[in-house]
Amino acid sequence: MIKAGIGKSNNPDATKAGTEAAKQALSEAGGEANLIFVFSTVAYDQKKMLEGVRSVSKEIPLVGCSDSGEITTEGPVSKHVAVMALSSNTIDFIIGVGTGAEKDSQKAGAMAAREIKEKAEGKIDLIMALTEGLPENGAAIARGFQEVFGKNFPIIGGAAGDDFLFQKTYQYCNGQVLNGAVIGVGLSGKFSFGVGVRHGWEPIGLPMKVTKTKGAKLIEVNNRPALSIYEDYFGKRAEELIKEPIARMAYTYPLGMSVEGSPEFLIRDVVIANEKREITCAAEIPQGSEVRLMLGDPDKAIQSAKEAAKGALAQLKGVKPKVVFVFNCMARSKLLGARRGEEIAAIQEVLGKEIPLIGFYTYGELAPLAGSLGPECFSVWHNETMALLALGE
Amino acid sequence: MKRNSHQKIIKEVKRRESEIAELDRIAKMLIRRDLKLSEIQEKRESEFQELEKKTRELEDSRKALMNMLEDVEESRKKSEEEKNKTLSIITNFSDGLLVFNKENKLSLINPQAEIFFNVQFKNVIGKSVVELAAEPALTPLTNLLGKEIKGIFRKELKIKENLVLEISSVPMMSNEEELGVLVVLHDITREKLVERVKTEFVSLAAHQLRTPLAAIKWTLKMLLDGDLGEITPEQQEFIEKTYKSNERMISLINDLLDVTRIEEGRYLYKPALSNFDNVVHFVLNSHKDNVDRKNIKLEFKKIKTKIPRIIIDVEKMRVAVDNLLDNAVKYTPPGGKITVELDYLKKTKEIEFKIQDTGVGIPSDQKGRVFTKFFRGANVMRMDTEGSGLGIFISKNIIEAHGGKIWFESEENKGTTFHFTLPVKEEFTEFLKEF
Repeated sequence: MIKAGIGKSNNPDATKAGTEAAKQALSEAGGEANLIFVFSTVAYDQKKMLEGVRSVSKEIPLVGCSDSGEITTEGPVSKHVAVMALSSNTIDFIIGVGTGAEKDSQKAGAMAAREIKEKAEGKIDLIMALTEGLPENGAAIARGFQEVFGKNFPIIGGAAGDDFLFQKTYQYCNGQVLNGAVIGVGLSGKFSFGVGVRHGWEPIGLPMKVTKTKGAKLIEVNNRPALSIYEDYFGKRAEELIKEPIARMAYTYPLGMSVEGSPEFLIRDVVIANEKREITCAAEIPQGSEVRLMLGDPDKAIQSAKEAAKGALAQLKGVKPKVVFVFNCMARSKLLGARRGEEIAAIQEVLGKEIPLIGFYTYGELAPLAGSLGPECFSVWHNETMALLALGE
Repeated sequence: MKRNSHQKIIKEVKRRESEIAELDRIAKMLIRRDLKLSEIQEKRESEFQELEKKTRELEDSRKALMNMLEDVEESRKKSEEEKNKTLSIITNFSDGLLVFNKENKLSLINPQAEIFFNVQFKNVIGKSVVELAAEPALTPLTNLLGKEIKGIFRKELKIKENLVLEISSVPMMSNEEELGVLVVLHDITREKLVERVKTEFVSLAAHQLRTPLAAIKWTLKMLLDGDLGEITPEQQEFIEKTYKSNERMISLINDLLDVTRIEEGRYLYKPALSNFDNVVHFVLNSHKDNVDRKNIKLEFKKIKTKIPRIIIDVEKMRVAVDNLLDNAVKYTPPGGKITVELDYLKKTKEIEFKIQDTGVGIPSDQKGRVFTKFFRGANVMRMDTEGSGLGIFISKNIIEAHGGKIWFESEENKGTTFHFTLPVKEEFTEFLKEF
C-alpha cells in the first residue's frame, strides 16, 4: 500500500513554515510515513526550516533540497516549503549520500550509489536522486550511479535550485543541510513505476561543431570562443553576457545536441560565461558534437509535459498511480510564466487530479533518455526537461 | 563541357552558401526578436505579479472596509430602530411635545401638541418662536416661553376655554452639549375642573357654616355678658371655653374661605401706601399675652435703616405676618426665643422680613411641601397642637400677590427661620404721590 500526504507553507518564520508543512503532510498521510521529502525556497534559513520539519517528522528518514519553486497537487508556487510524507508497507527506501559533486561529480554519484547498494537487503529497482544544482558536471553524476548499478539502471531526480541566483544550492538528508551532495534513494520491494521525460524545445539556426571542451566547460565552437554563439544570436557584447550568470538571459535558449535513442535533442543549459569567453554548462557536451541553439515555445512545452505524463502512465501498464514526483526545469517556469500552472494541470489531467503530487523547479534533471525503461534505459543529465515519476502498487 | 558543368557546380554551391547564410541571418534575427519578447514578457510577468499583489492588498482593504461598513450599517440600523422607537413613543405620547433645536427653531411637534393648538406639523415646523407667535393658537405659549425659550417648570397656561396645560421646558443635553429644548405640554384641564368643584364645595360649605357659627357666637356672648340672667362661675367657665372653641372654628372657616378665594382668584387686594413696620408692630402686640403666657422671649430687632413706605394691602399683610408669628409661637416650646427682624435692602430695593424661632423645626424630608395646602409637619401633628395647615399657604399667596418672595431655613429640634421680601416699586410710589 502506498499513501502520501502533501503540505506546504509560506509562513514568514522558517521554523514555523517547516512545522506547518510537515504537520499537514503527515496528517494527510494518516500520521505515518517511511520517508519525508522536503523542497524549499532558499529564502528560508535552511537549518531552521529543516528543524521545523523534523520537530514534526522526528526520526522518519528525510531527503530533500532547495529549489526555484515548489510544485504540489495544488499546482506550482514560489517561496514556499513543500513536504511530502510517503508511507508504504511494500517498499524499502534506502538512502545513500555522496559529497563533493561540485569538484568530482562522478565520484559523488558513485559514493551515493555504493552506500545504497551496501545497505540494501533486496534488489534495488529504481533510484531517485536529488543533487547539487551547480555540479562540476551533471552528466558525470549519472555515470557515477551507473558505475555501481550498470548502464541501463533507471535513475530519476533533479538538481537543487536557489531561486535563480545560481550561487549556492542545498541538499537535505535527515537533519543535515548539505552542499555539493548527491542524495540517492533506492527503492526496493513490490511496486511499479513509470517515467516520463520530454521538453518540447526545438532547434533553430545552423548546426555548430564543438571544437574544444573540458568537462562541462565549453571552450570553442566552430573554432571560435564558445560565447560567440550567444554574442551572434543575441546581438549582445561579451561583457553584457558575463556580468551576471548567462543562464538568466539564456535559460530559455539552451544548446541542444542530437543523441542516439532520443527523438528529442538532449539539452545543455549554459550557466556561467567568463572573460575568456568560455561557457560553463550544467553538464558536459562531448568534443566533436554538433550543437544547435534551442528555442522554447509555451504551447509546445505544455504539450510535451502532457506527453511525458502519458508515457509514464503507459509504463504503469494499467496500475493506478498513487504518487507523482515532478522534476521540472526552472527554465520551463520562466518560459511559461503565468501559464506554468497549465503545465502541471496537463500532467494531472493524465495521471489524476487527486493523486498526491510533489516536485520542484530544478537546475537539471536526471532521467532515462526519452523516458525509456528496460534494456533501452539510459539515464542521463537533462536540462529544460519535464522529468516525472509515477509510483503505483 | 566539363568546365561548364564544373562552373555550374561552383555556381550551385555559391547559391547554397548564400541561402544558408540567409537562413543563418534569419535564425539570428528571430532569436533576437524572441529574446526581446522574452524580456518584455518577463517584465510584464513581474509587473503583473506586482499588480496581482496590489490587487490582493486592495481586495483585502476593500474587505476590511466592507466589514467596517457592515458594522456601521448595523449600528445605523440599530440607531434607526432606536430612532423609530423614540419617534413612536413621542407620537403616541399623551402629553404634547415640542422640540426646539439649537437655533430655537421648532424641529418636532407630536400629534397631541398639534391637537392642543389646532395646528399642522407642516405649517409650524422649522419656525422660530417669533414666527410661531403669529399663529394665534400658539401666542399664549410663545409669550410664556420667550424668544430664547427659558427653562419653565410646571407653569399652568390656559390655552382656551376647557383647555389648561401645564408647561415645562427642559434643555436637552448630550455630553454637556446642548441639543435644544424639549417643551412638555401636560393637559391638566380635568384636574383644574376637579379642583374648582372641590373649592366651590369648600367655599359653599364654609359660607353655610359661618352663619350658624356667628349666631352661636352672639348667643354665647350674650350669656357671658349676663344679658340673659345671672350665671354661676362654673357656668361662666364652661361657656367661656365654648366661646373660645367657637372662635377657633370661625377662624378656621375664615382660613378656608380665604383659601377658596385665593384659588378662585377672588382674594381681592386693597393696596394703599403704608408703613410696613406698623404692620409688624401691630401683629407683635396682638400676640404679647400669648407669648408671655408661654414664657417665650420675643425680640424685635431695631431697624437699621429707614424703611420706605410701601404699597400694600394692610389687612392681608397683617394676616401674612400673623400666620408666621402664630406658627413660631405655637411650635416654640416654653423658654424659647423668637426674633423678628425688618430691614431695607437698598441694592435690590426690597423690604426683608425675617422671623427666627427656636422651635421644633421642619423634618428635612417634608420641606418640599411646606407651602402646600393643609401641610402639617409630622413632628407637629404628634405634639397635639391645633392648626389647619393653611396659614403658610395663605401667607405665601399674599406675599406673592405683592410681588414678594418667601423662603425658609429649618433644622429639626433647632428652629425655623422664615424670610420674605417685598419689592418697593418706585414708579408706583411716584405714581401714587400724584394723588
